[in-house]
Amino acid sequence: MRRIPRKRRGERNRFFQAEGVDELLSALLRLSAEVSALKDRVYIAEKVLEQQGLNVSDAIEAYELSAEQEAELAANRQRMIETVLAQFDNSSDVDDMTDENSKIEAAA
Amino acid sequence: MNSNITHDLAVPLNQEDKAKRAFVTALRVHVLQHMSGSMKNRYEDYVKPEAQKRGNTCDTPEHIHKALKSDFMFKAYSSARTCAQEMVFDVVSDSVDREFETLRAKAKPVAKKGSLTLDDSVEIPKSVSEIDVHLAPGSYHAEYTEEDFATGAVYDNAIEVFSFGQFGKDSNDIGMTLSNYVRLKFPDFKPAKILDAGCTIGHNTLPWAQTFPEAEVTAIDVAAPVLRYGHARAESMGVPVHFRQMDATAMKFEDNTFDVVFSSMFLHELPLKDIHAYLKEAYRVLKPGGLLWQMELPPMNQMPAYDNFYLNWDTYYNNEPFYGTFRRQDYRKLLTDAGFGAEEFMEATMPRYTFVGEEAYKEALSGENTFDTLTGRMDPKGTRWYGFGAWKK
Repeated sequence: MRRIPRKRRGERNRFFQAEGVDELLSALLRLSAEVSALKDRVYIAEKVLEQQGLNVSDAIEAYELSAEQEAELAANRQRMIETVLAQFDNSSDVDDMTDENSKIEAAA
Repeated sequence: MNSNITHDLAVPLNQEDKAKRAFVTALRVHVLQHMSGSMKNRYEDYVKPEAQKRGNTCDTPEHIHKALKSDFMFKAYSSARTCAQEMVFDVVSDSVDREFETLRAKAKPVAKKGSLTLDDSVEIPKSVSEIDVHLAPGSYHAEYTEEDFATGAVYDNAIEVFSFGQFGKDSNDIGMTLSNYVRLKFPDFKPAKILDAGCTIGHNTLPWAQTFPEAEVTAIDVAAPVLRYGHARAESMGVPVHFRQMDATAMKFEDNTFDVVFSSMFLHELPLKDIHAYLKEAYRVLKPGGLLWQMELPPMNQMPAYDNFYLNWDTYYNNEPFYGTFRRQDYRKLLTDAGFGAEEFMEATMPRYTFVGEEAYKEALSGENTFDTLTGRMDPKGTRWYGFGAWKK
């Protein structure tokens, strides 16, 4: 149940002149298609496993990540942020990261 | 992401909460470090030289703001930062709403070391009630049910996500840093009564009771929900603090009551007239020989112009409209206007006590004050807190 309001009073900050750009960025960050798709996929995977007699929902909730796994997820998270925000950033670090990715892909 | 909140009122987090908090945390780090770095480079390499050609000297934060406002990097940084700030409150509100009934039972402590005294005659100042401070929907005073404490829970969780761990365990580093400064710098000073004004949930009040266990510690705020939550939080941690609903600009304490009057991140949220009123009240309730000690944002006259522009972003875009005016003040004059002697003024920049440890902290205190890009700024590379105050003679 929702008690705490989510809507703010007053006009929302607007930085871009063209209508909708700030809102578009907001939408991108909040509901990125990648997260949504991943969530759907995990949900469906759980349902499929349930049909086959494997209830993994509780095991997923109880699962404790190791430090190594945490680090892996943190790196994925960072990569996702950089990918989603790529058009909003012109710094050289993004290029460096792209180079790193190319190297990894080439090695694979 | 696992929480740094260790007390009993910690919201039970499910996997989705953890993942979302981790995402918002990572997003804020990215915006504040990576994107802000890009914005500064863009400013130095292109925006500043171009603005100077047009006659903008870029020597004040307002001039820099004007020069950057139309640049893409500023827009991208500001738009993403606004969104990340909103998302902080959105993700924590989801979990507080869901766990509200579980928390309710814990929000009424039985074993009491401290106390809670509410006063519904306290009028909520417009600086709290009329704006969604920090873009927190409904601000911090609002009550949505009887004996509500939800905004306290939201605040506690939000500052953890907001600060990406920079406030330390249980978000207590500012209180630990400022109270230990007093202990180490003035070893003969033994405060018996300490006041924290504008305490919210008491996260920076509790360290005073821990640093000076012999002292009686009182904490005041105008907002009942944060006090209810703060009281329950303190009891669950076994730290004795007396929480009272009171306006810091019109305190109900007798003259000469306290040995220390402290506040943290409080003055910059007040209109200038309330800052003056609070400081006069602080002077009145301090005992002669007592210490006023305020943790705040560094004054504009000590910081480079670009850093002032960067810090003042919040005054324009984070619903903290009094922030810029406060930072423009001469802090020494604010105190002399309230009755303190000009020669009693003191200020310090301090490394974070709980991060560097006692020995390194002690060593840093013997050095000069440092005003640079890490002073007072929420930066993943680290932070140095700023404090100022005066003795009452």
